[in-house]
Amino acid sequence: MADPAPVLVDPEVSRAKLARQLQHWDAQRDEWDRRGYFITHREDLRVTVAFAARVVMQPGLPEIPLVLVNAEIDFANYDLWAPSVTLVEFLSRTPSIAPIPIQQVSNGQPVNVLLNDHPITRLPFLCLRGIREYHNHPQHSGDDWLLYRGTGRGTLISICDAIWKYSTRRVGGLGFNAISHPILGVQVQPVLIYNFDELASASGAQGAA
Amino acid sequence: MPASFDLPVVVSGQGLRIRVSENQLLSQVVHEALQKSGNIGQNPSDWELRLNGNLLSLTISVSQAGLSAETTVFLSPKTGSGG
Repeated sequence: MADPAPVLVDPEVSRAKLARQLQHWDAQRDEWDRRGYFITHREDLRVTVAFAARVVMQPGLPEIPLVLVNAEIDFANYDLWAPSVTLVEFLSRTPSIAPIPIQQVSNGQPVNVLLNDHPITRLPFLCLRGIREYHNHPQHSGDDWLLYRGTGRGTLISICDAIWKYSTRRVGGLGFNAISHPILGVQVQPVLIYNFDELASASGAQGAA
Repeated sequence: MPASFDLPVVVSGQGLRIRVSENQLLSQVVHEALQKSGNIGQNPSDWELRLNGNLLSLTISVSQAGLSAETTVFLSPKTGSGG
């Protein structure tokens, strides 16, 4: 784990800013519930959010919620620093990599935004503007967080919106791959099926459902 | 005359209401929501508007999107990546 962050912003200021964001969160909680993400822990300047996908096992049967992504968001030194996001395992809450791809669409192609081995934390990280690990990455030294502070990025809600959009929102159902192996016989592996609705259109936009 | 109503818009988590008319384009709605929420000068194309989790095209009108005073739309910044 990285060393504890030096105190650059009075924690009371960061707490007040986080409290305001949590008020906004609570005001719209029905929407986050509907999308399938929810806060599991609130500890001082850290908030842990679990992202569940509704997986269709069989048409006609109720969807089964699966927590596939769990993010610990740290607001230390907020908002002089952007929030830090660490993906953690749901039960142990130890750093982990998500079992599904986290991808955004660029020029019609999926691009991974969850990358391995951040040069400072040595952990997997989300390479997205508004997240501390993006802005303190040496390759992004020309894209400073302070250029985006106060622009709607780097908030609890915008970070969770991005994680949901690029991960659990795309999970549609469960399928199976069957392989006939000459020695092992028939091997069946479960696989998640992804929606590519926003991937399919060039603009990524559609009318109202 | 097209009907007007107050559309609930959540801008990066902050809830507000924007007076809209049925024929108004969503790009104009986004522009006004950004102005009203203090995000002055930002390009609407850098933001995404969603209804029920679905992305809305900013080139359609309020009525085409099926918006009303009872529907809440969510406006969030696009999150560019560096890779």
